[in-house]
Amino acid sequence: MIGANTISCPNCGGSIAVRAAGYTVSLACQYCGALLDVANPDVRVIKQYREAVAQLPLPLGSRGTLFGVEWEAIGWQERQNSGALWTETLLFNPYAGYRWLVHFEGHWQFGTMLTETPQSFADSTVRWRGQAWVANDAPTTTVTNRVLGEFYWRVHAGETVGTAEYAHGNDTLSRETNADEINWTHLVALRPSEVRTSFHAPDADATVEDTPAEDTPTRTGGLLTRWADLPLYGENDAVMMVWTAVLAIVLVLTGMMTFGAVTAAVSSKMTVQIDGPATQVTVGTLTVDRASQRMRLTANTDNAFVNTWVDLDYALVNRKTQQAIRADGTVEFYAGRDTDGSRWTEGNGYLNLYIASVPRGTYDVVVQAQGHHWTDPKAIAPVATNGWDSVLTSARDVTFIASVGGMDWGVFWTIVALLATPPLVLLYWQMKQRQHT
Amino acid sequence: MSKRVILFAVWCLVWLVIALIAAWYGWSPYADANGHGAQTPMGGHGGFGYGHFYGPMHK
Repeated sequence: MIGANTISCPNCGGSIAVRAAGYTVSLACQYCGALLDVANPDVRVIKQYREAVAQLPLPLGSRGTLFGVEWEAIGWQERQNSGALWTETLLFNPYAGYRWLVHFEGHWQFGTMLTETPQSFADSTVRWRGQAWVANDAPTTTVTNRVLGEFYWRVHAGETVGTAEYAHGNDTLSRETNADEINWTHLVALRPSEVRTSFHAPDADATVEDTPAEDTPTRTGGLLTRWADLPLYGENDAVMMVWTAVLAIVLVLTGMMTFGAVTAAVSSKMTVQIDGPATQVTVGTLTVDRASQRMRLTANTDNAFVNTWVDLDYALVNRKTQQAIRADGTVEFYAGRDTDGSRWTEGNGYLNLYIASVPRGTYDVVVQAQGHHWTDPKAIAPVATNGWDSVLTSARDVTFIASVGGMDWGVFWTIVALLATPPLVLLYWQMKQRQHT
Repeated sequence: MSKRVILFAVWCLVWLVIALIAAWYGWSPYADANGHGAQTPMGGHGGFGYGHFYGPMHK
């Protein structure tokens, strides 16, 4: 069933069976470890190894049935990257071709080389057969330490390839890159007992508990795989970034509301004469306890001033230095009717002024106010029927509130935009990429 | 975890810290005045409505 040929090792004289005759290019002698070139009739030693021949988890030549196909173990290599050491057994069937059995920390994976290339739409995500596969970790470099048996390429110890692994559920896609090509392999987790039984190798991982296939560890970290298993923790960078942004926004909101809580507030009322003289009132005294804090100054007319404006001139007078921090603004509210009778309004009856970084100290909050009424130069006679469109009174009360602290929603929404933009841009870009593919 | 996600996490952390410091010390780019700006001796007033145009924009 399986084509076999025999050669004599030029190095040690051992008799070696070539199990995939006609396909095998390199062969490592199972007795002395010498690497032989069997592509040509005159077998020659490529490299001679002095290391002891490794104890293989599956002896070369052993056969077993996996996924309904009988496989023969024909090659073995030991490989490692910066964080892991594992072995790969090359399986061969003349009708089905080559497969891999990857053995890592007592766990087994069955690998099938892909003839199609998964599509990459982000650094850490690829799409294959309609599924997104997420990178286990950053790409790394893998080195082949030792080889034994037959291989369909010119294998040699010290061979270096770039590797990356992508996970979807319990399956893995492995990408290997060298100067000439990129190879993809689909790895399916197997139970150790399945391998032991199939290959009649009772010693293979006999000491390893028969852990479920889904507990197979990854060779490139695995942290992200576990995160990806969490509900709502998604299939690619953009989804991870969205949830990271949501978490950050919640923390920002909570922190700003806590750190920016109002620590002191005072209020006062003043009667403002329309077209009268400026009047002044001391709203109260506020103390800034920190190195600096924000202050909010609110004037509320309850929309009582229609077609008027009230100029406000605030001064925060430091009791110690008698220096003043100034801020000014205008409360404006206008209303009227167009010639077609439709009503319009502009402005509103309140004003919030914010003073940033008020230094530590005790301040008298003083405000001067002066009211004026507005007359339309093209005036249609004011309509007073609803009490809205005309100047109804010449004096009104204004309520002033001054507070230390308070949530700065402008800063909050700016930070929300800064945090939300990168993942949203990435999501949009990925969506466009998917549409193209 | 990809570099992009790590960088974004750092980006979030930086803005979180900035937001907390800004809230604590009352920093804001949107304030109408700044307490660390020039302070003037008390007396008089700042000039009502300087540079302000009154009246509605409605035509």
